[in-house]
Amino acid sequence: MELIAIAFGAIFVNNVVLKQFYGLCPFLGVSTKKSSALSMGMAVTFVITLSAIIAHLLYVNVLVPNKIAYLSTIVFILVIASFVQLVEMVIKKFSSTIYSALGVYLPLITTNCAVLGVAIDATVNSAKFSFFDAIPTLAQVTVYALAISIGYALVIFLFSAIREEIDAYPVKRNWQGIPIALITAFIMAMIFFGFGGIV
Amino acid sequence: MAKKQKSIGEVFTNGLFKQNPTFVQFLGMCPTLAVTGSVESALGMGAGVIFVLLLSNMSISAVRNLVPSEVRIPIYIVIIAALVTVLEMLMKAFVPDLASSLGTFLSLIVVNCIILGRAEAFASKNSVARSAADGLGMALGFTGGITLIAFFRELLGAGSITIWGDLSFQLIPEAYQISLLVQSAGAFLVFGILVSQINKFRMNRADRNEVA
Repeated sequence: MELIAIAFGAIFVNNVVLKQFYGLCPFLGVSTKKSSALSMGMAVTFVITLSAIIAHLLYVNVLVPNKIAYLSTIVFILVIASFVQLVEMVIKKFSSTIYSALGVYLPLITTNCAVLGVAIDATVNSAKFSFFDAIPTLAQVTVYALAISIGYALVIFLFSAIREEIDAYPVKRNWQGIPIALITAFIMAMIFFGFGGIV
Repeated sequence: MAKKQKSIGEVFTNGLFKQNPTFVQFLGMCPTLAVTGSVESALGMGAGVIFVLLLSNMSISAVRNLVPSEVRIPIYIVIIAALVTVLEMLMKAFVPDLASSLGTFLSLIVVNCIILGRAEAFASKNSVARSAADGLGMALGFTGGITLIAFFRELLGAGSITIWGDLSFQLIPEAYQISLLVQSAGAFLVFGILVSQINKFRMNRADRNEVA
């Protein structure tokens, strides 16, 4: 039950893009087509979940016992960068279909702040969320990271569907592109704000 | 470079206006929206980015001829991450309140695209002095951009302007505040409106130059 509450909260209430403002560059950059938004969402889901689990295991078993928790930013970014590289190599080797769909998005993910942000929130800054234990358990971190990334994929897909529609209408010259996308995101954020009453 | 090199002054003002990272290049959007709830946290974030970007541009430019180009990105990331860790420790030691209000976004300066972008596009090809001018210009342009957003959000949303600690001015009484603007949804609205107005200004000016 507790895990379900974490999952619901992470997908809707604390939505990674609209509430926590992580990963906005790809959110605005890769959301002009539904197909690319979906691929980006899947790639992000995979990377966020696994890198949060790796970061959590490293933090609890290596960084804290050796009293080098202050190095976590450097360690996490290196782990994420090499993990993304590894995933890219594995996918390239085993499946050319998946590689052609996700390949171009993987390098972008290293600098997607959602990945590092979720890894830090689930370890160093876990006190920020009341639903985590003092030291979050592996189950809590896994459910949280998976739900956060599902929230990311959901929102970027919905957003790209709206932007495809907007393309069909005339927009004033100075509102084209980013400004109108930001206003769309504003309306979506207000809708997601309404979920706040549920949890 | 076929064209005549820009002077250091031009490199510096390039980041402030023509290539402003916030309103023209749309880099580093996450902190742009997340820390602009108050002028104080926007200025704090700006100070952090000035520190990291100035030092990272200078150190990357200093080692640019030693780094093999195949592994340059990981090396840049390690340099930037080390500087961010220094910044985190300094902020937690001297301004703990600011550090906790910036929260995770303090560590996320590592993945702020402005910093890696300037390292790759400018510092890896230019001298230390020019890279310092570029870093300072870009970082000040970023600080100016987020402070402008924070100014409107805090003024209209909370009715006040807080520059630092107790140095705060209450300008609009509570009954006339639009509290939506200081919440997260309002960030998108204020930023969107500002971008559209700045676009309008730039487009009008470009039209005039064409006619003249």
